[in-house]
Amino acid sequence: MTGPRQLDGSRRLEDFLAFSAEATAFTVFELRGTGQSQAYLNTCDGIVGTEVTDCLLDRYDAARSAVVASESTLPELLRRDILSDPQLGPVARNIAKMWFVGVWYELPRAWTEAFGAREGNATFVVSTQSYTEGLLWPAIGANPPGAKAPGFGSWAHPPRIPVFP
Amino acid sequence: MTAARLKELLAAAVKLELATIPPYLCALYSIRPGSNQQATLVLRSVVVEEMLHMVLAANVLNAIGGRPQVAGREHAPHYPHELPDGVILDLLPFSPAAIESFLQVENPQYLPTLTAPDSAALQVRRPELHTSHAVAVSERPTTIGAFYQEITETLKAVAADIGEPALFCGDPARQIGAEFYYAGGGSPTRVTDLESACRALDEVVDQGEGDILSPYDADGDLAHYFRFQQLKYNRSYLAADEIGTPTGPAMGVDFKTVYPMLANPRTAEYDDPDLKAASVRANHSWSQLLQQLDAAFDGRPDALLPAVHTMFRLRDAMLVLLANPLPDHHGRHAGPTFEWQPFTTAKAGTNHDLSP
Repeated sequence: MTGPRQLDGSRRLEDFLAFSAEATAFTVFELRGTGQSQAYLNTCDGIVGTEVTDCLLDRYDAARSAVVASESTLPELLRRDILSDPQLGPVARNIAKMWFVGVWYELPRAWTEAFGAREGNATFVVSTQSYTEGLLWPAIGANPPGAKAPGFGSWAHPPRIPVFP
Repeated sequence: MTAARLKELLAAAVKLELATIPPYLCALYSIRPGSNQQATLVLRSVVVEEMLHMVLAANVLNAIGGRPQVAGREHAPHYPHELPDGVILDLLPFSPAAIESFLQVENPQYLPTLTAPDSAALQVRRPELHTSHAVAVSERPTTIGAFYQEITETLKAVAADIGEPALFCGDPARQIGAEFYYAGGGSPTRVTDLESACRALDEVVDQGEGDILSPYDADGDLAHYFRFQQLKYNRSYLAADEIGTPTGPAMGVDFKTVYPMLANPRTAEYDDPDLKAASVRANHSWSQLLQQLDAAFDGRPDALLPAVHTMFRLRDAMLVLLANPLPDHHGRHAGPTFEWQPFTTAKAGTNHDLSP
């Protein structure tokens, strides 16, 4: 469950995207479409370290395998095994927030007190594109203000909100 | 020399200008955000001027009582797309091959004897070649410059023959003016007589290919052909530079920071269901855009306003496709396919309405 995974970079990114799809309710296709996948994985690795990221991805893999023989649903297992975990929970929430807002949020003090301060663990915008690529905007059927101009007068139309499974 | 012949030529000119737009959009949006900033500006400036050229050609056609058509399988462009001078328009990512073909498109004197971009990979990615309407209406192989020259000469001849009022019999309400076409490579000329018709067509030729001996157009802007030369040589033009040898600062061209889109992709090639669905949605937007343009050219210029919204939805859909690698295509990415695929069921959302 713990320790560095011996995975090549692309496989690791696939796993990160699979977990992210679960955590955001967007598809892997849509996540890739933001062009931010690698930047978000790098950010997570850079702040909490690859070991913690790998631990989270392993835990997700394990939950996916376990759900077949379990009476619990995958969301239930994830809530129990990842979101309720004192170390992995805040990291998982940060990943979801990063996808939606394009910002890495400083981890809570309880986390750093328990698991050690991390260099660079401040609230920051991940990349020059991450604000405009935030999932927040498609989720509410709007364009990011100041970017991805939708055309004069388009605001007269109702928002186009995607259907979530 | 008849008005009927003129309508045929101008209808083909509208389609010719439209057909140049998707290849430029593929190159533009395949550039990874933040890289190739000069190239992005060049491509964007050219593609919006092609949109203006399409509107100008449509205005001339409407002025003589014609009906520009761009919607429908018969009228929409298909790729790969062959132009009158043998130049083939492919849907390609930003690449040396793409720039080479843009140089050919924008060279008024281009003759098919010059080297064409013929990488082996591209040849096999040209499953079906579609011929431009401009080829069909030309009596012999011609250059794009000669094609426009024939239009201007025929206009003048017919005007002299039957008189300007008889030739320019179109309803002025069908003209697209600045109130409906904004921020796109200039302001459209309303065409009501021979003088305004020639002015509109001159702008198409002048802004596009320019004079092969003088890189700057009447507004002092570098013509498209020379803008693309700057990308080819990765050097900007200085005022004193000789034609063909720009010596200014580097343009920052980097073909590696590009999504390597599959050449001339088809939705049918996308196996992943999410990817296929997104490609279909992009084609819905593209087809809806053509329907809105068609309506705008057919007496409802205000249809251009919602067409702008559709255009930006298409852009957003393109960007998502381009960021997605294709399994089984050796690292190539998906891209927009620009296939005629209109939204047909009655479940269209309110934004899908054709009406403004």
